[in-house]
Amino acid sequence: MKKIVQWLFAVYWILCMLPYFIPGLNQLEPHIGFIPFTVWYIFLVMTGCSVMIYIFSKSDSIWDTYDYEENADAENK
Amino acid sequence: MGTTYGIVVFVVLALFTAFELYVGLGIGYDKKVVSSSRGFFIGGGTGFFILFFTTAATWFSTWLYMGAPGSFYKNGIGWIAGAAWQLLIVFLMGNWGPKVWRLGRDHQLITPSDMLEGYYGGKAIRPVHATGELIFCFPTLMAQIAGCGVALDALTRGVIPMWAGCIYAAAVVGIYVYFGGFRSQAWVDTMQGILFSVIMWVTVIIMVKNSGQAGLTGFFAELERTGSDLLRYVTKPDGLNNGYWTWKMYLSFWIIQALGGFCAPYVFQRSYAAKDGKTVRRIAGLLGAYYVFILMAAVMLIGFGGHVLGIETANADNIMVVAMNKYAPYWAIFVVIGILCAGMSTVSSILVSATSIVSVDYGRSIKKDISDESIRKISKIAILGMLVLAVILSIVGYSSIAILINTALAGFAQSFWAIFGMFVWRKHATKEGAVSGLVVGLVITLVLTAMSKNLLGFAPGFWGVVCNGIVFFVVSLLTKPVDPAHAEEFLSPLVKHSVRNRT
Repeated sequence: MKKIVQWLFAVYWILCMLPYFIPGLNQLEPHIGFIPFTVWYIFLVMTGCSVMIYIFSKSDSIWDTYDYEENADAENK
Repeated sequence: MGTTYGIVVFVVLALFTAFELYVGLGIGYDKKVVSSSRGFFIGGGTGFFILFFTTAATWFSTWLYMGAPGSFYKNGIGWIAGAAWQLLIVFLMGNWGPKVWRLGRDHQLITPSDMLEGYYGGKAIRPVHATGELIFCFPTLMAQIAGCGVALDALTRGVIPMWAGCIYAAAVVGIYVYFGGFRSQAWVDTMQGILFSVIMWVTVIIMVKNSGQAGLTGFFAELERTGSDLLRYVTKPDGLNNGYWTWKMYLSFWIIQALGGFCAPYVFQRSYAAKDGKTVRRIAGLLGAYYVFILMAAVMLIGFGGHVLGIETANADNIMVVAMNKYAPYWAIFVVIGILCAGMSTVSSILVSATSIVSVDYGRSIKKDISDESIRKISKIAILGMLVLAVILSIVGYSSIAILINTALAGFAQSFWAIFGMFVWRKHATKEGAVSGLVVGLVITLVLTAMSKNLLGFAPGFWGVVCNGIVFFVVSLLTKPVDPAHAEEFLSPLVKHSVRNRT
C-alpha cells in the first residue's frame, strides 16, 4: 500500500511539470467559467493531491501514528 | 502622511503590539513548561489547533505578503510551484512526522541534530549539521526582520524608517520568546496566522472590486488582455514574465523548497512538539489544502491583481502595500499588520530553533552531559545575541525577500539525505556518508549562491541536494553501516508503538 502511495505522489509531481513539456497544457483555452486553462489545470491537480493526502491522513495502514500505547491508555481512562 | 491617518496607524500598531504581548506573556505563558530546556524549546505537548496555526504561521513568513505576490506580479504563474511544493512538504510530514514525534518523545530530543546524532552516532554529525542549519537560519531571520522594516517604512512613508521597523519587530518578538519560549510563540503564532489569512482575503476582495471589472470574470479577462504572458509557464526572456520560470527553475524550487521546508529546523521541531502522533498526521492531512486554497490562491490573485489595477512599483515585493495605499489607504494599515504577523511569527520560531541549536547542539558538542540549567542560561544570552546580529544584518544587507528565503531553504534541504538514510535506507546509510554528503551539499550551495550562479539553469540549492545525495550514497556504500544493534535500539519505539503492526 505504501509503495502505491509513493507512486501516486510521483504522478502528482509529473502532472505539475507537464505544462512545461506539452504545449497543449500551456495555453489559456479552454476556460472553465472565467478561469484560464493554465490556472484551473494546476488547481485541479493540486485539489486531487490535497484530497489524496487527506485520505492518507485517515489511514493507519498508510501513515502510522506510532502512538499505540497512548491510544490504549486513553481508552482505559 | 496626514495627521488623522498617522494617528490611526500608531493606534493600530500600539493595539496590535499590546495584544501580541498579552497573548505571549499572558495566555501563552506557562512557568512550569518553560522551567525545563525541552519545555522551553518544544513546549509541553501541543494540541491540534495551536500546532496547526503555529506551523502554518511559521512556514509562511513575510514571503506570503511580499516575495510571493511580488513574484506572481513579476514572473507570472510559474510561482504556482510555491503552492504545488507545499503538498510535498505535508506528504513528508505525514509520512515521517509521526516517527519524528515518537523518537523525540521517547529519547527526549530537542533539535534535529539530536536525532541524527542519536541514530548515526559519532562526534561529527551534530556540529556539522547544527552549523549548517544555523548558518541558513540567518537569511530567513534577516528576510523577516527586513520585511517588517520595509513594510512599516512604506506604510508610514518614512516616519518609521526601515531600521526602526526592524528594531521594533525584533524587540517585540524578543520579549515574548525570551520569557515564554516555544509555548508563548506558538500561541502568538496562532493569533497571527488567523489574522494574516483573514487580512489577505479581504485584500483580494478590495483588489477585485477596484479592478473596475465585473468580479473575477472581468478580473481574469482584463489580466488576459493586459498580461497573458503571466498566465503561461514559459515565454521569451523579453516577455512580460521575464521568461524566469523555466522548467529547470520550477524543478529547482520544488526540490529546494519542499525538502528545505520539511527539514527547516523550525518546521521539523513542530513534529517533536505535538501532543501525539495522531495530531501530526491530522495536521499533515489538512495543512496542504489550507496552504493551497486559503493562502496561495489569495497570493496569486493579489500578484495578478497588481497588473489588472495597473500598479507600477520599482520593488515588486511591495505590490500589496502600494496597491492598498492607492485604493484603500486605511486597509493598507491592516495589510502591514498582516506582514508583521507573517514576519514576526517566523522570526519567533526561528529564534527558538536557532537558540536551541546554539545552546543544545553546541552545548552538548562541547560538554556531553551539560546541565539543563546551563542550557537555559546559554539560551537566554543566545536569544539576545542573535536578535541584535539579525537586526544589524537586516539593515545593512537587505536583499529581495524571495532570494533570501530561497537561500535559507536551499541550506535546510541538505538535511534530507541524512533523514532519508535513517528512515528509508537504513541497511546501507552510514555516518560517514551522512556527514560527507552534508558538507558537500552545504559547501556547494553556499559557493554557488555567493557566486549567484544558476549552473545549467538550475538553482544553487538544487546542485547542493544532488551532489549531497551522490556523495551520501557512494560514501555509504564504501563505509561500514550503522551498528544494526544500535540502530534497532534507537528506532525501537517505532516498532513498539506502531499502530499499523496491530491492525
